[in-house]
Amino acid sequence: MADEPTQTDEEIDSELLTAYLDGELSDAECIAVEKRLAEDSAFHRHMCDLQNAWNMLDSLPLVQPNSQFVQTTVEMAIAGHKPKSSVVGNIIKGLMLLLIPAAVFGVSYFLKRESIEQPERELVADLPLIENHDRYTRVVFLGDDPDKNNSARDSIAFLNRIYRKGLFREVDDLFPVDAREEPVSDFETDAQPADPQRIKDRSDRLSRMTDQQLAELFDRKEKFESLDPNQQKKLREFHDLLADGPNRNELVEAMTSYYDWLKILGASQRANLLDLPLNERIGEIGRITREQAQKNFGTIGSTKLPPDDSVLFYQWYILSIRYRSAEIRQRTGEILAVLREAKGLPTNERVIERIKSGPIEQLVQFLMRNDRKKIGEILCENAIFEDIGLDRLRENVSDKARSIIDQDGFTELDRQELILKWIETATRAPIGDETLEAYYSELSQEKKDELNNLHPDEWRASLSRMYWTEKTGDRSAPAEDEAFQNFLLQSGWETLFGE
Amino acid sequence: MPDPAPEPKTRYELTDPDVRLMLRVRDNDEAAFRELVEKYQARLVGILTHLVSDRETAQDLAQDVFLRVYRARERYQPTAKFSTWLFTITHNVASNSLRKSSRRKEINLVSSPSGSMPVRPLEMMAKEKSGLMPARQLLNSEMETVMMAAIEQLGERQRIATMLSKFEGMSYLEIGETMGLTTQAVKSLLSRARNNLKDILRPYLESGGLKPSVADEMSQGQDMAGGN
Repeated sequence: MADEPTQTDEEIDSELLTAYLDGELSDAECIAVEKRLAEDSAFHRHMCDLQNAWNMLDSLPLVQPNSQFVQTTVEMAIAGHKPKSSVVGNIIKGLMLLLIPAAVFGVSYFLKRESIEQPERELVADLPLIENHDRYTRVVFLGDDPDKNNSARDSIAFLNRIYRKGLFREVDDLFPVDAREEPVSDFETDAQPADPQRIKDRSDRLSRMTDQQLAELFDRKEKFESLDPNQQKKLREFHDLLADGPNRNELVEAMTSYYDWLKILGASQRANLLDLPLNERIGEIGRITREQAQKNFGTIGSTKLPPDDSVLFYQWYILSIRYRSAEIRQRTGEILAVLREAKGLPTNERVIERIKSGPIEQLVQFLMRNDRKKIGEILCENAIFEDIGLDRLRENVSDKARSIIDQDGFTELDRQELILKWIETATRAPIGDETLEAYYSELSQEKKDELNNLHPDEWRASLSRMYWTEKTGDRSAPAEDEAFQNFLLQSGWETLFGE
Repeated sequence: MPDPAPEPKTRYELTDPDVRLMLRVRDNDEAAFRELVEKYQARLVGILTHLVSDRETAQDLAQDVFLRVYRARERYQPTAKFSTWLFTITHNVASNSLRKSSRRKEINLVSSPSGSMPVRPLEMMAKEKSGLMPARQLLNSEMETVMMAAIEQLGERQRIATMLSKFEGMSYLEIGETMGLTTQAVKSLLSRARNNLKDILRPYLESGGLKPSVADEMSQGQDMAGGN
C-alpha cells in the first residue's frame, strides 16, 4: 500500500485556514484557529492572502447565456424526447390520427359548401403560413428587443442580400439533399379573395399527408397559435411580401438554403447567430460559411493545397481559364439551355448569349456548381496547350503538392475533383490581415476612397480581389514577393505577365 | 380495496423547491422544465465558461446538461438537493469535455477567433505590465482577464471545486457528493486551490500591480496546475 504523502506545516496551515474561511470547522476548532490568529502574525497574514485571493474571484466576468438559450434548450429537449404515451394517450393519439383525415375530408367538403367551422377554416386559410412557420420564424425576428425587432420588410431585404451574395452555395454539399424539406410552393394568402380551386388544392394536399406529416403540421399550427397577435401579423406581412415579390422564387430558394443550413450549426452557434440583428447576421453567416467551406475542404484527407503553392496554383488556374475560355463559354451555354428547359423556361438564345459572354471566372463557378465533371476535364486536359493542363501543374508545384495530386488510389476523376477543390480554396483564399493592411496602405487615395464607399461586408472582399488582380494581372506586380517572382521565372510564364 | 397510501415526501421534496419542480418535470410538465432551465442557465453557463474557457463551448455543454436532465427525468429520485444532482451532471459533462479537448490541445491560453473568452497567459500579461506600469491598479477589465488566466492555471478538479464552493456556496459535503470525493479530499483540494490562487495572484495582492522580479519568476514557468 502506498504511503500517504506527508503534508508540510504550511500545507496543514493552509488546509486549516481554508476550512476556517469556508465555515467548515467545528466550534472548538474555530476557537483554536482564532486564538492562533491573534497570536501569530505570519499565520494571520497567510489567512489574509488566502482570503484576498479568494475575493479576487469576484472579478471574474459574469457570463450570460444568449437570449434564446432557454427557448432552444426546451425545444431541443421536448422535440427530442416526446413523453412516452400512456395507454389513454395512445388511444387518443390513435383516434386523432383516424380523425385527422376524416376532419380533412370534412374540411374539404364544408369549405366547398362555404359552411366551414372557424378553426378548420383557419387551418386551410393559414396553411402556407403554418407549413412554413419554422422557416419564417428563422428569418423574421419575433422578439421584444426593439433594436432587433426588424420589420417584415427588413426580413425580405435580408433574404435578398442572402440571395445576391450566394452565401450558401459553398456549403451546399455539407448536408444531404434528401434531408431538405420541400420548398414552399403555395403562396396565395388569406388576404386574397377565396378561390375554390385554391381551397380544393389545399384540402387535397392535406388529405395526401401522411400521419407523421399531419402530426408535424399540427405541431406547427400550435406554435403559430401560441404567438401573440402582433407576431402573427408580422408573419402574415412577411408571407404577403414574399408572395407578391418580383423575385419570389429566388428568395424562397435563399430562405430554404438558409433554413437547411441553420440545422447543421451547433445549438449555441445557431442561437448566437439568430440573436444578432439581421444586418449583422449577414456578416456572421459569411464568416461561418467561409469557415465551413475551408474546414470541409480540410477534412478530405491529405488533399490540402500547400500554402506555398497557392500563388503558383492561382496563376495556373487563371492561365488555364483564359486559354480554355472558348470551351468554358460553350459549355456554359449548353448547360444553361438544359437547366432552363428542365425548369420549363423558354430557351432564350439572347439571354444565354449574354450570360455566356460574362466574366469567365463566374462561368467557371457556374460550371463547378452545375457540371463539375466537364469543367474538371477542361481544366486538367493536357493535349491542347503545353502551358496548361495537369501535367504542366505537376511540373511546377512543390513535391508535396505533387505527391498529393498523384497519391495512391486516386483516379483521374479524383484528381479533377481535387483540382476543383483547390480552385475553390484558391479563389476564396483568405489573405492575412497584415498583408491586406500593407496592401491597403499602398493604394492611391482614389482607390482607398472607392473602397471606403463600399458596404463593410464588401470592403474586404473587394480589397482581396484587387490584391489578387494585381498579383496575377498587373505587369508591375510587387517585386518583393519572392515566391511569386520565382514562380514566374521557373514556369516561363513571366512573358505573359511581366513583359 | 383502498388506494395505496402515498409515499411519504422526502426531506428534499419538502425543503427544496427545485426538487419539487423536477418532480413535475418527471411528470412531463414542460413549464416546470422551462422554469428550471431559466433558473439555472446563467449559473451553469457561468461556471462552465470558467471551466472550459470558452463561452460557446460552455453554452453547448450547458445545453447538454439540461438535455441529460430531461432524458433522465423518468428515473429521477429526490435523494439530494436538485442543485447537487445538476452539478454532478455538470461536473461529468465538463470533465468529459476537458478530457476530450486535452487530447487536441496542450493548454489553450490564447483567445479563439470568436465567441471565446479572451484568455492570455498570465506570464505574458505579467511581462507586459511590468514593462509598462508596474505598480498601478488594474482596471476592471484587466482584472477579469487576469482572473480568468489564473483560474485556467488551476487543475481541472481544483477549478471545479473552486467554482462550486465560491459561486454555488456548496458545503464540502455537497461538493464531495457532486464530485464523488470524500469531505477530506474536498478539503485538501480546496486548500490547494486557494494556495495556488494566492501564489499565482501574489503580484496583484502585494501591490495592485506587478513587480518585475515576480514577473520574471512567473515567466520562467512555474507550474501551478499540479497538485491535484
